[in-house]
Order: sequence, then structure tokens, then C-alpha cells
Amino acid sequence: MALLEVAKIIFINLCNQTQKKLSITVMALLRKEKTPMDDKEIVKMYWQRNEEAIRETADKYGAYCRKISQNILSDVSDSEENVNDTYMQAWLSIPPHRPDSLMAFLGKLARNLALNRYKAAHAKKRFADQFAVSLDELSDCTPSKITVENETEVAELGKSISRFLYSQKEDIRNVFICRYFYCDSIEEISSRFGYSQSKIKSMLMRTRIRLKSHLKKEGYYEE
Amino acid sequence: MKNEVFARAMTEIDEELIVSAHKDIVQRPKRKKWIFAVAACFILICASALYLKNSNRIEILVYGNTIADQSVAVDIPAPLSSDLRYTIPDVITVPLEIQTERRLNIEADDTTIEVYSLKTDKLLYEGQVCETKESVTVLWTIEAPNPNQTYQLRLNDDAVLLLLSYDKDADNWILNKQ
Repeated sequence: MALLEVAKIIFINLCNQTQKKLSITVMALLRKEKTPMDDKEIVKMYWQRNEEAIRETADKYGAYCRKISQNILSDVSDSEENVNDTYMQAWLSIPPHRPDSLMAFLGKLARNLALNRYKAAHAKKRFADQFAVSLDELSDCTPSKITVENETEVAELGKSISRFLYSQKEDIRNVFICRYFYCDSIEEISSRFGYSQSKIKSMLMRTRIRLKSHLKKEGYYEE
Repeated sequence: MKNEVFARAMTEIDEELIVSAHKDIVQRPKRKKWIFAVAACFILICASALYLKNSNRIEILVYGNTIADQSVAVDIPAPLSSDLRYTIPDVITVPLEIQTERRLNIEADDTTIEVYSLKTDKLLYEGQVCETKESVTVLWTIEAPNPNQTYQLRLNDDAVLLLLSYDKDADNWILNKQ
């Protein structure tokens, strides 16, 4: 009898959740909320110099850009400014660019701009924020032969890292990107992937060691 | 900025890697939760149904054989006399073995029952209405049986009904289960 009661409760909860989702869908339809525009359509609007492109970008990727900015900058107002700068930069870059993946393009823009802000804000002092902790972790594998001013070499290093990441298992690859591209905290990554925090730290450490070995083979370290 | 070279290089990784890592974040947890919740619910319902089905089962045996759909002839001792007037016995006692995992309620109308524990053979009850939670042996006694009457033994409020009646064609008392 107890089993039957538990089954009844789970079944009722599932029904309630379904009903809630249906209600949300119906409400959205009633409010005439539009579905997000296709990326190709948005890029086309940029090329047509149609300012609606920015609104569509904000609708579809605003939260995404905000998350990347927030993970690096921590401060909410700085993050909002960074997101606005990202839209501006997108407007100035398209054309001539015609990105295949608008999401990745915006992600890179947001990240680069956030890194610039972070560098400017933390030029003299060293902070112990989340992003700084993730940067510290990279001490294991940062190559010594490249300077940040040489953009071509930095881009080549990015390609080498991509080659390395493609050779890794999907979970390991995605955990690494979440940590060092999206700058998510260990806690966030742990809850998303369903692994314990210690397992995530261990995965990242072993991946950094393998990455260092890969970069050594490709000649990124001075002998 | 410490390790800026690597930080900048990470911005330059392939777009496909950036997109697939994000898709993994957005989609996987919700999908998994939903599937597991539905599967768990389904398994729970099936297990509950199976448990209830099995626990409701009452098996009745007479002379060591399970009573199913066909009627069973009741073994009546032969009369001491060859006088045909004595073919209808004074008393009929039907020995039944009732196996169950749940509460068992036995009611005998106009007849009596003696209920013994199947495990210990201990007399549990004597009378017309009995309630027990274990498998039992029941001696169902009908005094001065009338061949024109059908006698009933009710189990669990008519969930199972045993009927004892006289078959004139077979010239025998028979037991049926409903």
C-alpha cells in the first residue's frame, strides 16, 4: 500500500509539471511571444545594416553573453557594459565577417572584451576572484615562447589547443572548455555534468598535464 | 594579467568546440532528469501492481489439489449400512487448505468451520466467522446436509466463494469455486 501511495505522489507531481509547462506554453502563445530568429536571418540583418539585428541578438544571446562576461568580471554593472560593448563590436564586425556560428562569434567577442576590461582593472593588483583562480591553474601549461602582442602566434596556439581538445573524450573536452573558455566555477561544472567537485578538479589537472605534453611536442616550450 | 597568452588563445579555439560544450550544458541535465523520473514512475507502478496482484492471491486446495474452474467431488465416507436411505450422510466435513499472504476473512452461513494454522496445526478458531493473517487448514462442517440446498463459504467479503451442492446426476456432493 505504501508503494502505491508513493507511485501516486510521483505520478501526480509529473502531471503537475506537465500541466505547468503546458500553461507556460499557452501563456507565451497568448502573449504572442516570438520564437528566436534563425542565426542566418540575424546575420543577414547585420549585412543589411538593419538595427533590429541588435535587438534580435540581445533576445537570443543576451543571457549567454552576460554569463560569459559575469564569469570573468564578477561585477554586474561591468558585465552589463561588456555585453553592450559586445553588441557594438558585433555591429562593427558584421560585415565584413559572416560568421557560421553567431553564438560562438559573440562568445569570443564577449570573452575578449571581458579579458581587456579585466586586464585594465587588475593591472597593478592581484585579485582572488573566480577568474583569477582559473588563470592560476593555467600556469601548468602556458607556453613561454609566445607573447600576447603577437596575435598570429596566439591564434596558432588556439588552433593547437583545438587539435588537442578534439583528441580528448567528449566529457573531458566539454569540462575543459566550460572551465577555461566559459570560466564557469568548479561548483557549476560539477552540478551540470553530475560529477563531484573533486572529480572535476582531477579531470582538469590531468587534462592540463596532457595539454602541456601536446604543446611540448608542437614546440611551444623553450628547451 | 597572469597567463594572458593562454587565456587569449582559448578565445581562438574552434567554434564547433565552443558550441558543442554549451549545448551539452543546456540540454543534457533536463533530458536525463525527465527520462529517469518517467522510468522510475513506470517501474514503481509495475512493481506495485505486481505486489498487489500477488498479495491478493488466495489459493484453495482440497485433497491436495488446487480448486480451479472445474467442480471437485467431495469425498463422503460410505454408509455403514447398505440401506439406500442412508446415502445422504448426517455430517459432511470438507477439508480445505487455504494459502494466502494477506488478511483472510472466512464466513460460513448455517455451517461451522474449524480453522487450524497450516504451519503449527494449532486450532485457531471454531465457529462461523473467522479472521486470520496466515495460511490455514479449514474443516468446513455441514450438519444434516440438505441435497436441495447450496451451502456457501465466503472468503474476504465474497472475493472468493466456495459452493457445496448435491449433484443428482453424479449422485455426489460437489464443490465449486467462484
